[in-house]
Amino acid sequence: MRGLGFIKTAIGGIAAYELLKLMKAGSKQVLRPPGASDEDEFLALCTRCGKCNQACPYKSINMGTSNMGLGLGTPFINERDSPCWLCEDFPCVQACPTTALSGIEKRTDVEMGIAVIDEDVCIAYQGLRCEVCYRECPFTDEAIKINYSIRPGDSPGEVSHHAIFAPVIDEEHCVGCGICVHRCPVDDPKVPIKVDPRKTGGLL
Amino acid sequence: MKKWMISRKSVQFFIIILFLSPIFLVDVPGTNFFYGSLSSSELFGIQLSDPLGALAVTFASKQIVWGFIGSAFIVFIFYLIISGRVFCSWVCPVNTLLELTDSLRKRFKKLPDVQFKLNTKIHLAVLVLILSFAIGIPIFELISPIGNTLRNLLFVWGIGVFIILAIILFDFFVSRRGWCRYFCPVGGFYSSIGGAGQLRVKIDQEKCTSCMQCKKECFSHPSILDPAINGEKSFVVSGDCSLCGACIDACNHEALSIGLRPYKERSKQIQIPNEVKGEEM
Repeated sequence: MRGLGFIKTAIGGIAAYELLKLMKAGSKQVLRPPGASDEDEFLALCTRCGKCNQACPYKSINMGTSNMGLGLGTPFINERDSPCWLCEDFPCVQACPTTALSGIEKRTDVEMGIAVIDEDVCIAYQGLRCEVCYRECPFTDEAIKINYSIRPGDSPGEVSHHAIFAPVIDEEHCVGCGICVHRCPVDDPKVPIKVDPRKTGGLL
Repeated sequence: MKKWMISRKSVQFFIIILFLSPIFLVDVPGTNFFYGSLSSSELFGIQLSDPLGALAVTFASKQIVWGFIGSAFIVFIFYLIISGRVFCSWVCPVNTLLELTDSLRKRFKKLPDVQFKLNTKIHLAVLVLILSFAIGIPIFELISPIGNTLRNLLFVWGIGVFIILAIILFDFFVSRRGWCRYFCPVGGFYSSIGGAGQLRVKIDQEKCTSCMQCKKECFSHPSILDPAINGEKSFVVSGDCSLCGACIDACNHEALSIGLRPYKERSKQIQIPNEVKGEEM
Protein backbone atom coordinates (compact mmCIF):
# COMPACT_ATOMS: atom_id res chain seq x y z
CA MET A 1 0.00 0.00 0.00
CA ARG A 2 3.05 2.24 -0.04
CA GLY A 3 2.43 3.35 -3.60
CA LEU A 4 -1.16 4.28 -2.83
CA GLY A 5 -0.08 6.60 -0.03
CA PHE A 6 2.34 8.32 -2.36
CA ILE A 7 -0.34 8.80 -5.01
CA LYS A 8 -2.70 10.24 -2.41
CA THR A 9 -0.03 12.70 -1.27
CA ALA A 10 0.79 13.63 -4.85
CA ILE A 11 -2.87 14.29 -5.70
CA GLY A 12 -3.28 16.33 -2.54
CA GLY A 13 -0.10 18.22 -3.33
CA ILE A 14 -1.21 19.08 -6.86
CA ALA A 15 -4.65 20.17 -5.64
CA ALA A 16 -3.01 22.37 -3.01
CA TYR A 17 -0.67 23.80 -5.62
CA GLU A 18 -3.51 24.79 -7.96
CA LEU A 19 -5.56 26.25 -5.13
CA LEU A 20 -2.67 28.28 -3.78
CA LYS A 21 -1.78 29.53 -7.26
CA LEU A 22 -5.35 30.79 -7.64
CA MET A 23 -5.18 32.47 -4.25
CA LYS A 24 -1.88 34.08 -5.11
CA ALA A 25 -3.31 35.58 -8.27
CA GLY A 26 -6.18 36.93 -6.20
CA SER A 27 -3.97 38.51 -3.55
CA LYS A 28 -4.46 42.24 -3.66
CA GLN A 29 -1.82 44.89 -3.48
CA VAL A 30 -1.38 46.69 -0.17
CA LEU A 31 0.99 49.31 1.21
CA ARG A 32 4.03 47.52 2.63
CA PRO A 33 6.48 48.83 5.24
CA PRO A 34 9.63 50.58 3.98
CA GLY A 35 12.20 48.47 2.19
CA ALA A 36 9.76 45.84 0.93
CA SER A 37 11.06 44.18 -2.18
CA ASP A 38 8.93 43.38 -5.19
CA GLU A 39 5.56 41.92 -4.09
CA ASP A 40 6.18 38.33 -5.25
CA GLU A 41 9.63 38.38 -3.73
CA PHE A 42 8.25 39.94 -0.57
CA LEU A 43 5.61 37.22 -0.18
CA ALA A 44 8.35 34.61 -0.64
CA LEU A 45 10.82 36.17 1.78
CA CYS A 46 8.47 37.26 4.54
CA THR A 47 8.46 34.58 7.23
CA ARG A 48 5.41 36.15 8.92
CA CYS A 49 7.17 36.49 12.26
CA GLY A 50 5.74 39.91 13.09
CA LYS A 51 8.97 41.44 14.36
CA CYS A 52 8.51 44.57 12.21
CA ASN A 53 5.09 45.01 13.80
CA GLN A 54 6.66 44.86 17.25
CA ALA A 55 9.56 47.09 16.28
CA CYS A 56 7.40 49.95 14.95
CA PRO A 57 7.26 52.67 17.64
CA TYR A 58 4.07 54.12 16.12
CA LYS A 59 2.20 50.81 15.82
CA SER A 60 1.73 51.63 12.16
CA ILE A 61 2.46 48.14 10.92
CA ASN A 62 -0.49 45.75 10.94
CA MET A 63 -0.44 42.03 10.30
CA GLY A 64 -2.54 40.73 7.43
CA THR A 65 -5.59 38.61 8.20
CA SER A 66 -7.23 36.06 5.95
CA ASN A 67 -8.80 38.74 3.78
CA MET A 68 -5.33 39.30 2.36
CA GLY A 69 -5.23 35.79 0.90
CA LEU A 70 -1.70 34.52 0.76
CA GLY A 71 -0.61 37.77 2.40
CA LEU A 72 -1.96 36.30 5.64
CA GLY A 73 0.42 37.26 8.41
CA THR A 74 2.40 39.71 6.31
CA PRO A 75 2.88 43.31 7.44
CA PHE A 76 1.01 46.18 5.84
CA ILE A 77 0.29 49.82 6.59
CA ASN A 78 -3.09 51.47 6.72
CA GLU A 79 -1.89 54.97 5.95
CA ARG A 80 -5.15 56.73 6.85
CA ASP A 81 -5.09 55.28 10.39
CA SER A 82 -1.38 55.45 10.99
CA PRO A 83 1.15 56.12 8.25
CA CYS A 84 4.85 55.38 8.16
CA TRP A 85 6.50 58.23 10.06
CA LEU A 86 9.88 57.49 8.47
CA CYS A 87 12.01 56.90 11.58
CA GLU A 88 15.66 57.91 11.15
CA ASP A 89 16.91 54.38 11.92
CA PHE A 90 14.04 52.31 10.43
CA PRO A 91 13.59 49.81 13.30
CA CYS A 92 11.20 47.71 11.17
CA VAL A 93 13.86 47.17 8.52
CA GLN A 94 16.44 46.36 11.19
CA ALA A 95 14.10 43.88 12.86
CA CYS A 96 13.42 41.91 9.67
CA PRO A 97 15.29 38.58 9.90
CA THR A 98 15.03 37.91 6.18
CA THR A 99 15.66 40.56 3.57
CA ALA A 100 11.91 41.02 2.96
CA LEU A 101 12.45 44.54 4.31
CA SER A 102 15.90 45.77 3.38
CA GLY A 103 18.04 48.29 1.56
CA ILE A 104 16.96 51.40 3.45
CA GLU A 105 19.68 53.65 4.84
CA LYS A 106 18.10 57.05 4.64
CA ARG A 107 14.58 58.35 4.28
CA THR A 108 14.93 59.07 0.59
CA ASP A 109 15.67 55.38 -0.08
CA VAL A 110 12.08 54.51 0.80
CA GLU A 111 9.86 53.56 -2.12
CA MET A 112 6.63 52.36 -0.58
CA GLY A 113 4.47 53.88 -3.25
CA ILE A 114 3.38 57.17 -4.73
CA ALA A 115 0.63 59.45 -3.48
CA VAL A 116 -2.16 60.24 -5.90
CA ILE A 117 -4.57 63.15 -5.57
CA ASP A 118 -8.15 62.97 -6.76
CA GLU A 119 -8.55 66.48 -8.12
CA ASP A 120 -12.33 66.25 -8.19
CA VAL A 121 -12.53 65.76 -4.42
CA CYS A 122 -9.53 67.75 -3.16
CA ILE A 123 -10.80 71.06 -1.78
CA ALA A 124 -7.63 72.89 -2.82
CA TYR A 125 -8.53 72.21 -6.44
CA GLN A 126 -11.99 73.71 -5.79
CA GLY A 127 -10.46 77.00 -4.67
CA LEU A 128 -10.12 76.62 -0.89
CA ARG A 129 -6.66 77.22 0.50
CA CYS A 130 -5.77 74.02 2.38
CA GLU A 131 -2.14 72.95 1.89
CA VAL A 132 -2.29 70.47 4.78
CA CYS A 133 -0.66 67.69 2.77
CA TYR A 134 1.93 70.12 1.45
CA ARG A 135 2.94 71.23 4.94
CA GLU A 136 2.76 67.82 6.60
CA CYS A 137 4.83 66.13 3.91
CA PRO A 138 8.32 65.24 5.20
CA PHE A 139 9.61 66.35 1.80
CA THR A 140 7.76 69.64 1.43
CA ASP A 141 8.54 71.34 -1.89
CA GLU A 142 10.13 68.15 -3.14
CA ALA A 143 7.48 65.44 -3.01
CA ILE A 144 4.51 67.81 -2.83
CA LYS A 145 4.70 71.21 -4.48
CA ILE A 146 2.05 73.90 -4.74
CA ASN A 147 0.98 74.87 -8.18
CA TYR A 148 -0.41 78.41 -8.04
CA SER A 149 -2.91 79.43 -10.67
CA ILE A 150 -5.90 81.64 -11.16
CA ARG A 151 -9.20 79.85 -11.00
CA PRO A 152 -10.38 78.97 -14.48
CA GLY A 153 -12.86 81.56 -15.66
CA ASP A 154 -11.52 84.31 -13.39
CA SER A 155 -9.29 86.92 -14.93
CA PRO A 156 -6.76 89.18 -13.16
CA GLY A 157 -8.09 92.64 -12.48
CA GLU A 158 -11.61 91.53 -11.65
CA VAL A 159 -12.64 92.03 -8.03
CA SER A 160 -13.70 88.41 -7.50
CA HIS A 161 -10.64 86.73 -8.97
CA HIS A 162 -9.46 83.75 -7.04
CA ALA A 163 -6.21 81.79 -6.75
CA ILE A 164 -5.96 78.02 -6.62
CA PHE A 165 -3.18 76.52 -4.49
CA ALA A 166 -3.13 73.08 -5.98
CA PRO A 167 -0.90 70.43 -4.41
CA VAL A 168 1.03 68.44 -6.99
CA ILE A 169 2.88 65.19 -6.33
CA ASP A 170 6.38 64.79 -7.69
CA GLU A 171 6.68 61.08 -8.44
CA GLU A 172 10.47 61.29 -8.32
CA HIS A 173 10.55 62.39 -4.70
CA CYS A 174 7.40 60.94 -3.15
CA VAL A 175 8.31 57.91 -0.96
CA GLY A 176 4.73 56.85 -0.27
CA CYS A 177 4.85 57.21 3.51
CA GLY A 178 1.18 58.21 3.62
CA ILE A 179 1.51 61.08 6.11
CA CYS A 180 -0.43 63.29 3.68
CA VAL A 181 -3.26 60.74 3.60
CA HIS A 182 -3.28 60.53 7.40
CA ARG A 183 -3.47 64.33 7.77
CA CYS A 184 -5.90 65.17 4.98
CA PRO A 185 -8.90 66.99 6.50
CA VAL A 186 -11.34 65.77 3.85
CA ASP A 187 -13.10 62.42 4.07
CA ASP A 188 -16.42 63.11 2.40
CA PRO A 189 -17.28 61.63 -0.07
CA LYS A 190 -13.83 60.10 0.25
CA VAL A 191 -10.27 60.95 1.13
CA PRO A 192 -8.97 62.76 -1.94
CA ILE A 193 -5.43 61.51 -1.53
CA LYS A 194 -4.21 57.94 -1.39
CA VAL A 195 -0.97 56.05 -1.80
CA ASP A 196 -0.64 53.72 -4.75
CA PRO A 197 1.55 50.85 -3.51
CA ARG A 198 4.90 50.47 -5.20
CA LYS A 199 5.07 49.12 -8.73
CA THR A 200 5.79 45.43 -8.96
CA GLY A 201 7.56 43.26 -11.42
CA GLY A 202 7.52 39.48 -11.47
CA LEU A 203 9.97 37.28 -9.62
CA LEU A 204 9.59 34.27 -11.88
CA MET B 1 5.95 12.04 41.99
CA LYS B 2 5.57 13.80 38.67
CA LYS B 3 8.95 15.46 38.59
CA TRP B 4 9.24 15.71 34.81
CA MET B 5 5.68 16.84 34.37
CA ILE B 6 6.23 19.72 36.80
CA SER B 7 9.48 20.91 35.25
CA ARG B 8 8.03 20.66 31.76
CA LYS B 9 4.90 22.60 32.68
CA SER B 10 7.09 25.30 34.21
CA VAL B 11 9.16 25.57 31.05
CA GLN B 12 6.03 25.73 28.88
CA PHE B 13 4.62 28.46 31.09
CA PHE B 14 7.91 30.36 31.01
CA ILE B 15 8.00 30.17 27.20
CA ILE B 16 4.51 31.63 26.87
CA ILE B 17 5.39 34.41 29.33
CA LEU B 18 8.60 35.07 27.38
CA PHE B 19 6.72 35.52 24.11
CA LEU B 20 4.09 37.72 25.72
CA SER B 21 6.65 39.73 27.73
CA PRO B 22 7.11 42.48 25.11
CA ILE B 23 3.47 43.44 25.57
CA PHE B 24 3.72 43.88 29.34
CA LEU B 25 7.23 45.16 29.83
CA VAL B 26 7.71 48.02 27.38
CA ASP B 27 5.73 50.50 25.29
CA VAL B 28 7.37 49.48 22.06
CA PRO B 29 7.63 45.65 22.04
CA GLY B 30 10.64 45.75 19.71
CA THR B 31 12.76 47.41 22.39
CA ASN B 32 12.29 44.51 24.83
CA PHE B 33 15.17 42.12 25.60
CA PHE B 34 13.11 39.51 23.78
CA TYR B 35 10.63 39.94 20.98
CA GLY B 36 9.31 38.09 17.97
CA SER B 37 7.40 34.88 17.50
CA LEU B 38 8.35 31.25 16.98
CA SER B 39 9.01 31.95 13.27
CA SER B 40 11.78 34.32 14.23
CA SER B 41 12.67 36.11 17.41
CA GLU B 42 15.44 38.09 19.00
CA LEU B 43 16.93 37.39 22.42
CA PHE B 44 19.45 39.95 23.72
CA GLY B 45 20.26 40.89 20.14
CA ILE B 46 20.72 37.29 18.99
CA GLN B 47 18.43 36.27 16.16
CA LEU B 48 16.74 32.90 16.44
CA SER B 49 14.60 31.42 13.66
CA ASP B 50 12.58 28.31 12.99
CA PRO B 51 14.69 25.98 10.81
CA LEU B 52 11.73 24.61 8.80
CA GLY B 53 10.49 28.16 8.22
CA ALA B 54 13.95 29.23 7.13
CA LEU B 55 14.14 26.32 4.67
CA ALA B 56 10.70 27.16 3.32
CA VAL B 57 11.62 30.84 2.86
CA THR B 58 14.87 29.87 1.16
CA PHE B 59 13.02 27.51 -1.20
CA ALA B 60 10.23 29.98 -1.84
CA SER B 61 12.45 32.95 -2.56
CA LYS B 62 15.20 30.95 -4.28
CA GLN B 63 17.79 33.10 -2.55
CA ILE B 64 20.02 32.53 0.44
CA VAL B 65 19.88 35.10 3.19
CA TRP B 66 22.88 34.20 5.30
CA GLY B 67 21.88 36.10 8.41
CA PHE B 68 18.54 34.32 8.44
CA ILE B 69 20.01 30.90 7.72
CA GLY B 70 22.52 31.49 10.52
CA SER B 71 19.78 32.39 12.99
CA ALA B 72 17.94 29.17 12.07
CA PHE B 73 21.17 27.18 12.26
CA ILE B 74 21.64 28.06 15.95
CA VAL B 75 18.22 26.59 16.71
CA PHE B 76 18.83 23.62 14.42
CA ILE B 77 22.12 22.71 16.13
CA PHE B 78 20.56 23.08 19.56
CA TYR B 79 17.78 20.59 18.79
CA LEU B 80 20.10 18.34 16.80
CA ILE B 81 22.30 17.93 19.86
CA ILE B 82 19.66 17.45 22.53
CA SER B 83 16.87 15.80 20.53
CA GLY B 84 14.67 17.25 17.82
CA ARG B 85 11.24 16.88 19.26
CA VAL B 86 12.19 18.43 22.59
CA PHE B 87 10.75 21.48 20.86
CA CYS B 88 7.37 19.77 20.68
CA SER B 89 6.86 18.90 24.30
CA TRP B 90 8.83 21.64 26.04
CA VAL B 91 8.37 24.71 23.84
CA CYS B 92 5.52 24.48 21.33
CA PRO B 93 2.48 26.45 22.55
CA VAL B 94 0.12 24.34 20.43
CA ASN B 95 1.23 21.24 22.27
CA THR B 96 0.63 23.05 25.55
CA LEU B 97 -2.93 23.60 24.39
CA LEU B 98 -3.36 20.09 23.05
CA GLU B 99 -2.12 18.60 26.31
CA LEU B 100 -5.05 20.25 28.00
CA THR B 101 -7.29 18.74 25.33
CA ASP B 102 -5.75 15.36 26.02
CA SER B 103 -6.23 15.57 29.77
CA LEU B 104 -9.87 16.49 29.13
CA ARG B 105 -10.18 13.61 26.68
CA LYS B 106 -9.09 11.15 29.34
CA ARG B 107 -12.31 11.75 31.23
CA PHE B 108 -14.31 10.29 28.36
CA LYS B 109 -13.76 6.62 27.76
CA LYS B 110 -15.34 5.78 24.44
CA LEU B 111 -13.67 8.30 22.14
CA PRO B 112 -12.18 6.84 18.98
CA ASP B 113 -8.44 6.87 18.46
CA VAL B 114 -7.73 6.58 14.77
CA GLN B 115 -4.14 5.60 13.99
CA PHE B 116 -2.12 7.05 11.15
CA LYS B 117 1.46 6.47 10.12
CA LEU B 118 4.01 8.30 12.24
CA ASN B 119 5.99 9.15 9.13
CA THR B 120 3.09 11.15 7.67
CA LYS B 121 4.36 14.28 9.37
CA ILE B 122 7.79 13.93 7.76
CA HIS B 123 6.13 13.49 4.36
CA LEU B 124 4.06 16.59 5.03
CA ALA B 125 7.18 18.56 5.96
CA VAL B 126 8.70 17.59 2.61
CA LEU B 127 5.45 18.43 0.83
CA VAL B 128 5.41 21.85 2.52
CA LEU B 129 8.92 22.54 1.23
CA ILE B 130 8.08 21.37 -2.31
CA LEU B 131 4.91 23.47 -2.39
CA SER B 132 6.76 26.49 -1.00
CA PHE B 133 9.26 26.12 -3.80
CA ALA B 134 6.60 25.71 -6.49
CA ILE B 135 4.39 28.58 -5.38
CA GLY B 136 7.03 30.95 -4.16
CA ILE B 137 5.45 31.43 -0.76
CA PRO B 138 6.42 29.78 2.54
CA ILE B 139 2.92 28.33 2.80
CA PHE B 140 3.16 26.64 6.16
CA GLU B 141 3.90 29.99 7.80
CA LEU B 142 0.38 31.01 6.77
CA ILE B 143 -1.55 28.09 8.18
CA SER B 144 0.81 26.86 10.88
CA PRO B 145 -1.15 26.57 14.13
CA ILE B 146 2.07 27.46 15.96
CA GLY B 147 2.52 30.68 14.02
CA ASN B 148 -1.18 31.41 14.24
CA THR B 149 -1.36 30.90 18.00
CA LEU B 150 1.31 33.54 18.56
CA ARG B 151 -0.09 35.76 15.80
CA ASN B 152 -3.46 35.75 17.49
CA LEU B 153 -1.98 36.43 20.90
CA LEU B 154 0.45 39.13 19.80
CA PHE B 155 -0.88 40.80 16.68
CA VAL B 156 -4.27 40.18 15.21
CA TRP B 157 -7.24 37.97 15.94
CA GLY B 158 -7.99 36.01 12.80
CA ILE B 159 -8.43 32.78 10.93
CA GLY B 160 -5.84 31.09 13.13
CA VAL B 161 -8.48 30.59 15.79
CA PHE B 162 -10.41 28.27 13.47
CA ILE B 163 -7.32 26.31 12.52
CA ILE B 164 -6.49 25.77 16.19
CA LEU B 165 -10.09 24.92 16.99
CA ALA B 166 -10.18 22.38 14.15
CA ILE B 167 -7.05 20.71 15.50
CA ILE B 168 -8.43 20.61 19.03
CA LEU B 169 -11.66 19.01 17.80
CA PHE B 170 -9.69 16.53 15.70
CA ASP B 171 -7.55 15.56 18.69
CA PHE B 172 -10.57 15.27 20.91
CA PHE B 173 -12.99 13.36 18.71
CA VAL B 174 -10.92 11.54 16.11
CA SER B 175 -7.43 10.70 17.16
CA ARG B 176 -5.64 11.01 20.49
CA ARG B 177 -2.95 13.70 20.13
CA GLY B 178 -3.47 13.20 16.38
CA TRP B 179 -2.06 16.49 15.12
CA CYS B 180 1.21 16.25 17.04
CA ARG B 181 1.70 12.53 16.51
CA TYR B 182 0.95 12.26 12.82
CA PHE B 183 0.53 15.54 10.99
CA CYS B 184 2.47 18.57 12.23
CA PRO B 185 5.21 19.35 9.65
CA VAL B 186 7.31 21.13 12.27
CA GLY B 187 7.17 18.01 14.40
CA GLY B 188 7.99 16.02 11.28
CA PHE B 189 11.05 18.11 10.65
CA TYR B 190 12.25 17.75 14.23
CA SER B 191 11.44 14.05 14.30
CA SER B 192 13.62 13.54 11.21
CA ILE B 193 16.63 14.86 13.13
CA GLY B 194 15.44 13.45 16.46
CA GLY B 195 17.24 10.14 16.11
CA ALA B 196 20.58 11.91 16.27
CA GLY B 197 19.87 13.52 19.64
CA GLN B 198 22.32 12.89 22.46
CA LEU B 199 19.71 12.88 25.21
CA ARG B 200 17.61 9.73 25.26
CA VAL B 201 15.12 7.91 27.43
CA LYS B 202 17.07 4.94 28.77
CA ILE B 203 15.67 1.74 30.15
CA ASP B 204 17.05 -0.51 32.85
CA GLN B 205 16.00 -3.96 31.70
CA GLU B 206 16.53 -5.49 35.12
CA LYS B 207 14.04 -3.16 36.74
CA CYS B 208 11.48 -3.18 33.95
CA THR B 209 8.56 -5.50 34.62
CA SER B 210 6.87 -4.86 31.28
CA CYS B 211 3.85 -3.42 33.07
CA MET B 212 3.33 -1.08 30.12
CA GLN B 213 2.37 1.88 32.32
CA CYS B 214 4.79 4.02 30.34
CA LYS B 215 3.06 3.18 27.06
CA LYS B 216 -0.23 4.48 28.41
CA GLU B 217 1.31 7.87 29.09
CA CYS B 218 3.58 8.29 26.07
CA PHE B 219 3.02 11.59 24.32
CA SER B 220 4.53 10.70 21.01
CA HIS B 221 3.27 7.23 20.26
CA PRO B 222 3.25 4.15 22.53
CA SER B 223 4.88 2.04 19.81
CA ILE B 224 8.16 3.95 20.08
CA LEU B 225 8.76 2.41 23.51
CA ASP B 226 8.44 -1.18 22.25
CA PRO B 227 12.05 -1.82 21.18
CA ALA B 228 13.26 -0.70 24.61
CA ILE B 229 10.72 -2.72 26.57
CA ASN B 230 11.33 -5.84 24.45
CA GLY B 231 14.99 -5.59 25.26
CA GLU B 232 16.13 -4.94 21.70
CA LYS B 233 17.54 -1.59 22.69
CA SER B 234 18.74 -0.03 25.91
CA PHE B 235 17.17 3.31 25.05
CA VAL B 236 14.33 4.75 22.98
CA VAL B 237 15.73 5.01 19.48
CA SER B 238 12.86 6.66 17.65
CA GLY B 239 13.27 10.28 16.58
CA ASP B 240 9.64 10.74 17.54
CA CYS B 241 10.47 10.73 21.25
CA SER B 242 10.06 14.25 22.57
CA LEU B 243 11.71 13.64 25.95
CA CYS B 244 8.59 14.83 27.69
CA GLY B 245 9.34 12.49 30.58
CA ALA B 246 5.76 11.23 30.91
CA CYS B 247 6.93 7.62 30.71
CA ILE B 248 9.47 8.21 33.48
CA ASP B 249 6.84 9.77 35.71
CA ALA B 250 4.54 6.83 35.00
CA CYS B 251 7.11 4.13 35.77
CA ASN B 252 6.65 2.66 39.24
CA HIS B 253 9.89 0.68 39.12
CA GLU B 254 12.37 3.45 38.29
CA ALA B 255 13.37 1.56 35.19
CA LEU B 256 13.36 4.63 32.96
CA SER B 257 15.58 7.70 33.02
CA ILE B 258 16.74 10.45 30.70
CA GLY B 259 20.46 10.49 30.10
CA LEU B 260 23.21 10.66 27.52
CA ARG B 261 22.88 8.21 24.66
CA PRO B 262 24.92 5.07 25.34
CA TYR B 263 27.11 4.28 22.37
CA LYS B 264 28.07 0.78 23.42
CA GLU B 265 25.18 -1.62 23.62
CA ARG B 266 25.69 -3.67 26.73
CA SER B 267 27.03 -7.16 26.10
CA LYS B 268 24.34 -8.96 28.05
CA GLN B 269 21.88 -7.63 25.53
CA ILE B 270 19.84 -10.45 24.05
CA GLN B 271 21.14 -11.06 20.55
CA ILE B 272 18.42 -11.34 17.96
CA PRO B 273 19.28 -13.62 15.04
CA ASN B 274 19.75 -11.89 11.68
CA GLU B 275 20.38 -8.70 13.58
CA VAL B 276 20.48 -6.25 10.71
CA LYS B 277 18.29 -3.39 11.79
CA GLY B 278 20.12 -3.12 15.11
CA GLU B 279 22.92 -1.19 13.49
CA GLU B 280 21.02 2.03 13.15
CA MET B 281 22.52 4.63 15.44
